[in-house]
Amino acid sequence: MMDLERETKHKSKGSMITAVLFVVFVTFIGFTLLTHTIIQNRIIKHRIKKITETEKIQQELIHYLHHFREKIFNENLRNVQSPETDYFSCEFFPEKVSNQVIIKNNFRNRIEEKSFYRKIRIINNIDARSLKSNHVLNADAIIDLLSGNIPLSLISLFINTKINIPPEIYLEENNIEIKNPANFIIDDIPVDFDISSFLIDALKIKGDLLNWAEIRKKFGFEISDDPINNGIYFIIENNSLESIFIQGDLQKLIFAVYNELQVIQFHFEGKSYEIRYQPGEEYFRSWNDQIQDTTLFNEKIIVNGNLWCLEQQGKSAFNKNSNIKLLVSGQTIIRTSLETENLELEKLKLTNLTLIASYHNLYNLENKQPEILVETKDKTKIQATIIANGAFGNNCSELELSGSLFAKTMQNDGKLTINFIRSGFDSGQYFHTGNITTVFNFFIDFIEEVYNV
Amino acid sequence: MNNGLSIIELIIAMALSLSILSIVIINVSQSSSLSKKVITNQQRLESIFHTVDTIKSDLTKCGMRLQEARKTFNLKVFENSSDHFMVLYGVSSEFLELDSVKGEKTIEIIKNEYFKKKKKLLIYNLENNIYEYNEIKSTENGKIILSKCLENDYPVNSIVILLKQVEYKLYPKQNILKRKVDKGYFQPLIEEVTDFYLNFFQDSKSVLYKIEINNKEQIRGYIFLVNMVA
Repeated sequence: MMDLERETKHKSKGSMITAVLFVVFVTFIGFTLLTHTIIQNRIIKHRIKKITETEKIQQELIHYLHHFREKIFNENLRNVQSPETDYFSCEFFPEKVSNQVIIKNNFRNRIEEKSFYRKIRIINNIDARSLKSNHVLNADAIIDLLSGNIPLSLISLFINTKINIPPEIYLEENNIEIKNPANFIIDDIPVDFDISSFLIDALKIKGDLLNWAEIRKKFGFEISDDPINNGIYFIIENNSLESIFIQGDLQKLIFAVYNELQVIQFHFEGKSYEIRYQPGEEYFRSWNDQIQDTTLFNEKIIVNGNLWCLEQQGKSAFNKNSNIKLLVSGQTIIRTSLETENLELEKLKLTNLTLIASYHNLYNLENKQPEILVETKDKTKIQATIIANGAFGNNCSELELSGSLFAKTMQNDGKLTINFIRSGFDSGQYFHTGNITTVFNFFIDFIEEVYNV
Repeated sequence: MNNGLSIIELIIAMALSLSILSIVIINVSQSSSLSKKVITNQQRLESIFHTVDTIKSDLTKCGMRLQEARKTFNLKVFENSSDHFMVLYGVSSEFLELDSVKGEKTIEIIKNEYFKKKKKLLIYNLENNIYEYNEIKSTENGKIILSKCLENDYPVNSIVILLKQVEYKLYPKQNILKRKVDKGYFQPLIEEVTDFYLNFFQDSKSVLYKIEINNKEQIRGYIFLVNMVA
């Protein structure tokens, strides 16, 4: 009897142990599943938090960069001589806390001395970090400044006249759009237009004095103060053709490209003359047998008169290596687009034509106000650097200028879009501003998430 | 007096034991397979998250430090096809401290720890409209020995950018998406990829991507290429 009771007790104890073990086992499995789910949820939660935080910092940073840019462009830096220290410092741009994000500026600069001006690159390394977590974003904002006597060809649009409205309103009212708005001036500030030096260099005249006597001497005429006879003259020195000088009005000047050669046609006094050359190489063909075929043409054309029609023939006006300097003393009327070959394949890096309009007392012309006028019917594309020491007029409904424009006054009767391209001709020594500082370029070099902080 | 269990009691006890045992076994096996499934899913999820984060990080960097050069030169910083894409960006940049002449193999910059041998470089000068790619052969206190001679003359203050090129490629037979950095080999990033595509929108400078895992999970995302907006 006792044995039976002991056996029954033993059995029920065994069953209880099995049941307990079973419960423990099931609980363990349950906990494992729960733990996995919790970890999974934590991962997702952490990820969402990271994304949200990073996006928040990025929003704040972009917002700050926008204000930073606006502040620079609204500031008048024109008379600031050392902007790299006097303006771009933490004193003017202190750290800022917004929406639990702290933004700090760290400025450094790099100065490049040019002949007449300084190019100053300001690099602002901006650190944006969350006050709640360790998420950090880093960005470099780059501001290029020009300070000193700045070449006119480095300013996308420069209207050298006094206006009584803000420049942005002037652009809007005159239907002008600048693709790089950083770099434009509409103001009556001092400008140096040294046309004499340009002519002395182009005509290869020795000394600093430019007058008809010197020019007559150069071309082998009897020396007097009278202008030379109307005609087309070549200025050659050491097997290189420095420039072509046209005395009198040109009815038409045509630019074209044929078999990769730059072609220029002159329609003068009822006759047509043509030159063909390979830019930068010793290859030149013209109607003048005295000029050798191996002559290097330095691509300067001076028209002492009016140019009644400037146009392109064929698909393009310029060979991609051309660097034509065309100076006209009177009125220039552009009647077609002026484009560079193969532009669809590669970007235009430098303009192939620098068109200068300027009066000089040498010219003996009644019209002392040179003018460049775009007189086309359809949408027009001009790829050129235009420097008009006088008026610029546009009668085209839609003009796209790839290059830059300087003028004393402007009359725009259509829509003018300017896309800044540097000039192939370094004209800074002849045509530049007085001593000023201007913003040349602004861009964000990078925005990057920083890890391990 | 009956001293043992009857046959009926024994059968009932055995049946009960067997039932409990089978329930336990089923439960255990189910729990174990569920647990395995959860772990696999978790690993897959982590792998997907890692892939998405890596792709996002690379795409966001696309064009970084190349904003200025891209405006003037035709630099390819992003390329994509049906099963492949490439991004190019700058890791660090420095100015040339001395003029460097065509034909030379040495350039000088301020010492920078990122500039290491075998890394790809971009050297450019906007004013002179010149640029070229090169590679670092060795370095010595800011002096960089290039693997090939310079093709142009670079004045002081020209810009030198250390480049990083990242490529992604789907191997459809293996269903693996692989990633390659610079000249390295393609390394597996995620397995069981049954579909992958990437669409670049030029105007909005953004990318739409889709990754499909095991014909089940799909991850789609839209990334704004913040370093491509110049």
